[in-house]
Amino acid sequence: MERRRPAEWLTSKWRIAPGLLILAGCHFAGESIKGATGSVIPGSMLGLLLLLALLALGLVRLSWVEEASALLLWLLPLLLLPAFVGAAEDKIFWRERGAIVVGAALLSLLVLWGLIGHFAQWLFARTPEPADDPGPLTDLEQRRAACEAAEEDPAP
Amino acid sequence: MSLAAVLWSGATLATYALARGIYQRWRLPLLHPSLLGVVILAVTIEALGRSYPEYAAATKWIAWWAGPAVVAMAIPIWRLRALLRARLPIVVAVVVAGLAGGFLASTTTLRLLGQPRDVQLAGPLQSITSPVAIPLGVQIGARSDALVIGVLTAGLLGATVGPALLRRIGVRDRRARGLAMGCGSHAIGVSRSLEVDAVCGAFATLGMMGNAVLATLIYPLLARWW
Repeated sequence: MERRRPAEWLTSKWRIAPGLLILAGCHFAGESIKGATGSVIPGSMLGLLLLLALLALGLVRLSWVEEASALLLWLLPLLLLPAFVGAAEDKIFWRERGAIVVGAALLSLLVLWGLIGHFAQWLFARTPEPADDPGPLTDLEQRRAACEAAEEDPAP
Repeated sequence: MSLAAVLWSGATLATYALARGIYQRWRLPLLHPSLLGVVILAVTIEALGRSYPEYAAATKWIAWWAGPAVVAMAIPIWRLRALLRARLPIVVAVVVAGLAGGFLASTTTLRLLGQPRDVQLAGPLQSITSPVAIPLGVQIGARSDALVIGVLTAGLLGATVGPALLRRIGVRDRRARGLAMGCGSHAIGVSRSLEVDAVCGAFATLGMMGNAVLATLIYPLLARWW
């Protein structure tokens, strides 16, 4: 997050508060829809789709929610910590099955990367490039692009 | 708010700040704030002789905000809508293939290793961003601790060797590498892809988002069939 002067920080808080309310409202509406319809989609995901619809219809402006969104996504690893900590509770599970689950996770991820990477590469190679599509980079371009490293580290 | 809620919430905030500071100092994947924070808090709970349900009840309000944070992911999707519109068929085809392939690879491996059904169902959720994977896991009857182990493993492997390994196995197109990172290693993969280059990061974001949205539709059906 960029460093701001105190006055800018305070005024930005006034923009963040309504944004947080809109995001919380969409989440609440999503949970309500899920409860009422028995949908298989999690309530938060229904809330996400609802917010996309509101943005598309122009009922919510991007400027109303973008600061609050950036804040919550920046804090996401913190918000998930309580759920992650709960996974440490069953020590017998960790002792008996931890290594197997990690090994299976590594193996299936390698299979998944091979499958997705080659399938996507094959599809991109066979599809005409839209005018604004950047296309594959040469190694030199890749090395240049690597210099523009981002400094974000969102949640897993 | 009870005293326990104040103290455990304060401990969680302080732990996260400490873990983030340590990670930013050394940038080692094994020091990722999600992993380091869990270790510090679990050791604290054990050392103080407190219970995990007590900790969960005290920090419920923090966990609640993960829901609106999922809603907040609409903003990066909205910003990438032109790119998504231009490449929607490819993104959808790749994500659906990845979800089906990942489900079969993971559940079959765990079944061959003699794991019970709830652990098998947790396997494929490892590649989905955790604020979606955790409620989805509850919904399909996946074991939550196995799910968290998988999510952290997939993310940390993506952060350490992801882009180099994909290049080694012949995936030269940066858009394909981005999709593979986003579909396989969720937000940690997106973060690593953004460090490589912006286009790889944009496709990783699309992959992660597509994975999260379509998994909520596909996995409950696959879980019922499995």
